[in-house]
Amino acid sequence: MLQVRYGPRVVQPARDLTRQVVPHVSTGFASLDAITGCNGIPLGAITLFTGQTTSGKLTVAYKVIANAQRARRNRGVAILDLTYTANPDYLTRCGVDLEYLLFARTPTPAQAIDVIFDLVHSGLRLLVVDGLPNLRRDAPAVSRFDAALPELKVLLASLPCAVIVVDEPRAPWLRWLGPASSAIGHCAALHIELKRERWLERGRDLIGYRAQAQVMKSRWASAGQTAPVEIILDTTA
Amino acid sequence: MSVLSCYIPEFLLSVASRQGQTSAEHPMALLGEDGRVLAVSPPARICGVAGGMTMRQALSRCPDLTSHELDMRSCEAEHAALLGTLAQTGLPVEAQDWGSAYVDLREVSRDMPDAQSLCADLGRQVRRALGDALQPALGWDTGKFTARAASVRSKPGQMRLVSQSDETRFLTPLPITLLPLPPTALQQLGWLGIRTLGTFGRLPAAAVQQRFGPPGKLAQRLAQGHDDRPVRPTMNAVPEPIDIDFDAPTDSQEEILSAALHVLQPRLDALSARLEGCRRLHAELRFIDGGKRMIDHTFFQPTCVQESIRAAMAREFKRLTWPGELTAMQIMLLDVGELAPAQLSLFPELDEALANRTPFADLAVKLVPRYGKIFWRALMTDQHHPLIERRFSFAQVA
Repeated sequence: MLQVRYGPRVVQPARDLTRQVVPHVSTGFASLDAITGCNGIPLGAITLFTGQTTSGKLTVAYKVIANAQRARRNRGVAILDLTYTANPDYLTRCGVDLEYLLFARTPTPAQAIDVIFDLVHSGLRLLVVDGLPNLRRDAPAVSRFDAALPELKVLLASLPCAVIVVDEPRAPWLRWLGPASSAIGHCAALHIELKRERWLERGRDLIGYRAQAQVMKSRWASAGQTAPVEIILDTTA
Repeated sequence: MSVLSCYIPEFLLSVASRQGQTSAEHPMALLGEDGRVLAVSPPARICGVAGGMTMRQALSRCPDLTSHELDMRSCEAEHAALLGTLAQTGLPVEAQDWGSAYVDLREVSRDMPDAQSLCADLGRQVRRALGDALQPALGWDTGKFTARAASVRSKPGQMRLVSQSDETRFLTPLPITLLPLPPTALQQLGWLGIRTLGTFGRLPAAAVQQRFGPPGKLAQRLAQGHDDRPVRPTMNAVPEPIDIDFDAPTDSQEEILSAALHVLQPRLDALSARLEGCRRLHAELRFIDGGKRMIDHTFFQPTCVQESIRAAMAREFKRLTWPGELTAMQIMLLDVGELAPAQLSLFPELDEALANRTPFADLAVKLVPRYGKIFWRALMTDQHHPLIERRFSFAQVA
């Protein structure tokens, strides 16, 4: 009766429904890929990584850069380094090819917003924005950034480019001073929070650490899923 | 034959920057009288700005583009100075595009070793006369086309001599955009997957003749290195005038233009078949009251296209004051020369310089004028240094 009224495709058996394949870049951690719902970091959307210092958010972002470069060598990857602390040595150890990596270091946070748009437009495969807390120090820049995010979201939808924003969770006492949730949280299609669980040891040496990645928000999977991420440090690093 | 091609790259831009109008490091366009783009700086070219665009079209490609009106007088003066310097040697000189010319060395040197010192001497003379900003790139060969290709491929202040045995090897990898074919023909060749002179030269001659006519046949011979066109001295050339008498005097500009183009058409066809065009058009108008008016129009590039000649004449007619009806007209096509290679940006060139560029160079060129020098590349300088911060360095992307 429903098919007569609304057309033959309105009711279909579940086995006929093909699963939507989202263009993505792998994170390099199979367990993390599995909980995002799109097998990695989605292209054409904003992804937010949050976590305290040494939680592993930047390492995961660097691993994504390496995987993006492996998938398409002729399309570049850029880091908008707002903290001026990017470490090419560590990037190389994460498997990143520096030849195809561009660093953008803006003198003012306000300029960073325009640079994001221009870099996304220029045909990059991945843009990592590192140091959102630095941007937050400039109040006019924050309001501009928040206002520009919906526009960036629309722009990205038509481009095969992923944007990863690396942020730190706000201290609870700071929530009294401003809105509890930021615009980036609303506009991100995927939000992953990382927490360091414990250090990994071999004998008396620290060889890395184990972090817990939790999906706070995903357009393709239910929130709240967690996956362990083991970050092994190169002993010479 | 022994031909030297003297070519000053980015001639118009160099003249403009010498007058302090602009710097070639920024996206910049030189505009003609009609407000269209005539020449663009390399950063603007990377953004997609090309000759013939309106300013609005150009700005949509490159928002940071600045524009300046082309100072035709100073360009002509510098071009004349180049020709004058080359003519001082007493050798036949044929003017080419802006800032380029052919010199016939047949009388003084026939082979490469002879030509080498002579070419270097001529290059030094040109540099002395025009200054370091207008340094020529020189090319030598036994034919005009290969000499021109050699000069285009060498850098300012350098010279490239192509021996007859090396001719084919030199021409084969070069892009077909060096040929003075119209853009439509180049586009068709591009669609057929023909991008290099070598591939074009190997096509069946009958097929080329059928598809592109006599200009295509001549272009194929040039691509194969067979160029027997002589150097024709421009300075002593005596143009053949074309006279038109109007039996019934008329003041209708449309009628006058139609009559002029009808008479000019066979000349233009002949020029087109030889891949040539005219750079200057001179016309003398005689009116019923015995008065005379002169028209002298310089085309930006040699042309044999009827539409551009019609548009130029119509523009000049509008500027004149017409004392009465026209009884007769005399037209002269001056400065006949080779057609300039059309839109060099139609296809990506097989350029060694481009191949050696860093991956983000184009992006940086586009964004640096807007944001300043904020783009960097990381280089691993000493991977095993005990201090992490000494293992790498950052270099600006340029």
